[in-house]
Amino acid sequence: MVELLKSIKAHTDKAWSVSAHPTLPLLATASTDKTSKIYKLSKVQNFPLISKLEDTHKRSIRAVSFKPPLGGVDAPVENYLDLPALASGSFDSTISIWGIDEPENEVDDDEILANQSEILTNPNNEWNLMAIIEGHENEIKSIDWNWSGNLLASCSRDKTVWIWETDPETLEEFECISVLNDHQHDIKNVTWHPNQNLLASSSYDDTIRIYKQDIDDDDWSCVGVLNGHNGTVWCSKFENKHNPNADPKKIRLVSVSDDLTVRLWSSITEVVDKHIDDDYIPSSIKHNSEMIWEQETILPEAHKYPIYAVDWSAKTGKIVSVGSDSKIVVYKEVEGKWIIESVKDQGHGVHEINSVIWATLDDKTEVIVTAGDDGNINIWSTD
Amino acid sequence: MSAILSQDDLNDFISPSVACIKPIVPASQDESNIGEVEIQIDKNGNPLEISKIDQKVKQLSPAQISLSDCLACSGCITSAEEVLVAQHSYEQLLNSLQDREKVFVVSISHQSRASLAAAYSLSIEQIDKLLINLFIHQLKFSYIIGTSLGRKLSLIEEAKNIINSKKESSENNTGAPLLSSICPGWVLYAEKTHPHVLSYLSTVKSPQQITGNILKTLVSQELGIPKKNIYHLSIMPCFDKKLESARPEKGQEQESYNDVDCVLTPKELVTLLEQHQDEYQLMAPLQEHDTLKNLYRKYAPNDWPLVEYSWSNDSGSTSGGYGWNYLKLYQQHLILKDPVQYQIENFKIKIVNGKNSDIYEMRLNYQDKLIASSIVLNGFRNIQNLVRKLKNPVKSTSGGTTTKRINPLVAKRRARLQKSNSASPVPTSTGLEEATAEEIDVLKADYIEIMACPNGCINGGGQITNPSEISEKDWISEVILKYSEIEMVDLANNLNIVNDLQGWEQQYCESFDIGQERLINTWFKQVEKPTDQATMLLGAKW
Repeated sequence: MVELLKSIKAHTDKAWSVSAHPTLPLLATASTDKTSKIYKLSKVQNFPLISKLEDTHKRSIRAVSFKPPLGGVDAPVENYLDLPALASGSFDSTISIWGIDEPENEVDDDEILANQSEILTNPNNEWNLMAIIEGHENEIKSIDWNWSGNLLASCSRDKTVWIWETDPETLEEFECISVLNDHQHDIKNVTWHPNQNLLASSSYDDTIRIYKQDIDDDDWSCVGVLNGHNGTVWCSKFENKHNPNADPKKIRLVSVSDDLTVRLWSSITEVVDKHIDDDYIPSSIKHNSEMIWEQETILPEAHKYPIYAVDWSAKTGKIVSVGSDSKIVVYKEVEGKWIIESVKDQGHGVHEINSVIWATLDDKTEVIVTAGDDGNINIWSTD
Repeated sequence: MSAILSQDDLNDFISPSVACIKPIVPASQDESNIGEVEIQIDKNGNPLEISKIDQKVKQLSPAQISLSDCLACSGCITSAEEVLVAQHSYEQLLNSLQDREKVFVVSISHQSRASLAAAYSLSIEQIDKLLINLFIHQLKFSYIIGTSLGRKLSLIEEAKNIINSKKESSENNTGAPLLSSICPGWVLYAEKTHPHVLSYLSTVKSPQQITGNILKTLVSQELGIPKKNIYHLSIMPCFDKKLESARPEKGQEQESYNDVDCVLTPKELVTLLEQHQDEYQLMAPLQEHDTLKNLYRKYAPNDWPLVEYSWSNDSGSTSGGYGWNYLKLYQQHLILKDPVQYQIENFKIKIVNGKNSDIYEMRLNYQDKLIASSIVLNGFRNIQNLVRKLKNPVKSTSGGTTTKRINPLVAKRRARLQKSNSASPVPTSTGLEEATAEEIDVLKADYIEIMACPNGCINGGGQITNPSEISEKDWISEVILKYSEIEMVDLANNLNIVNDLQGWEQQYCESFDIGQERLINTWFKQVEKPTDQATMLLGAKW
């Protein structure tokens, strides 16, 4: 069962997005009130406010995303103090990058490393604006960091997906390495695979597109189109390979839409890894590293109104979805079949829920975090 | 870029934004006091305006947007073909051809010839003969010419421009690259979205425009007809060239004629031929069996200079070789100026590759010392990075203090990394190369040849796309191969031609009383962004 742990009155207007740092107990929020807030994910400390990021964007902030630690979550660089960094995307068409200053030099480096969870989440840390990235024509709807923190993807109403490259240690310069024009309409969401450089974008044009880098020349291109939804696709998420139910031979993606369905898609990885320099294969296939995607299943129906967001737990393999009906629905996979585990009604009262993520508290328990039109950030315990 | 461009897709690579801001001008002033009205649609779908005061009904005419409005706009309604390029469709061309009062002339670009040759699996020689056959004998054009003269003049003037600019900036200690303005896609994008770069743009016109001016002037003289009775069609590799042809001349918005009246792309030419198979065929039997050289001469205006080279190619990139020819002409300039100091055998051009295949630098070294450099930069993502760097130029001024605006956190991190680097190496998980002497710095080059399309003009939005059995990459290579088959008459190896053309240009301007600026230079204007939300939403297409 899903129970409310804490409801934070974070914003004075709609809250659009939440992001949890992959290794530190930090939570970031985004709102129409043009601010972003950072909270500590600690039940025992009652989720204190760490910082308020304001006076930067001129319009709503729609998306926030914490950068993964150097080396990625699975193999972080050892003996290295990775300072957290946050990207936030706004309707004013820019992305702002925020980070904290180095901790004071009085304390020993080794001591800092041992207590990084406390030190880096201390409210005394000043979160500073490090960079503003311009380029999109109009409202940015979503942003996401790749698994290693050197690529940032953004998407916008201008129908494009941009990929920016930076140095994940210094975050010094953000260079545009690709602009992808494949969608016909507004793009609502971009999301990276948690373990490899594979990108998915969801759009008002009812499709999801998958992008990869070419083998020869590092150019990014669309390698798959997922057709099937009968309405705007609002959000999608890749399965993490650590999911207990994950099949190492498959890449899976879950998506949610205006058509009230939660759909699961999969692609067999064997084809992608296949040796492709056989002479008899015509050159058009050799150069084209297309992926074959299939709709695997539609999860049991729970929502009666548009579904806005979805997340897939790396820990338990459960999927959670939220939407216009303010329901929080949790699904689990039992022997290959999906069933509804729980439905929480009125998650944000009569208000729509815009975003949902699985997150981990400082005591290592897993929670669900939702952001709603009421401006609240709700934290839910799960069994 | 996406391999999913359709044949009918009129978008070029830099897509226009979504809002159209053509101001809503009332039809006539005295009707502006009509009071409250209601708009209704009658049973035939026509819009009617009904006055609420006296029930008077007035039929409304649809709002029209012309091509020159398009340039005044901060963006347009995607590729609303009918609205934007109505005057430039091949159907319009065929309609115009009915007007027997006019004389029809056509100029054709090198990249278009390459595209058509590849599409029909013909040699350049064959395609040139068939095109002359098509335009002269079937479509009844009077003259046909290649854009070589326009391009050579453009290359020469651009090189002169860069050399002057380089001299000035070394005298005043201001260093900033000169940016090409040959690509109308780039120019329009800069005017609309990044006006801060306009001051860096060269004003030298493109081959299309220079050819148009000379073509109309010489034909007008030869036939004794006014220029407005000459209809100039130009076959170009992209759709933005249509917009370039509609740009008004500086200070002469009221001029009665344009240098170019219509632009068609190879894609559209193919569609024209498919739609009118009974009347026009490219593969028709040749009406004339003359040599190609004779045909070139026969169908050019009488006084066309160096007519034997009027369809010839130039060295360098497939977009015209602007960056390359500047270096070669600069080399010649130095040798001529000071033959004691500069000997030809000590010059070397080195190519430095950039982050991707669409950006590279060419460095002219004399005895291993760098003396000039130009960068070829194609594609939207590289343009993005360029305009960003130009917005916040971080460049050390020689002989003074280095003013660098750097993120304070970066400095701290660098210091920390250096400290820990000495202790234990921090592995970089990225593919970013370390900054070496081989890195390209756009701010340090003399000149940047900028094209909006990846791979440059050879891959323009109007070029014929790859057949399904050939990959996009292989197709582009094939078209480039055809392009390289066009006979080259290289400026750098033919200095006499450079001198002849410059002399001819001066004489041309004098005898026809055309200011050199009118022939050679264009101008740029920042386009205002729409701020009225209502206007933006009116034109927005979701």
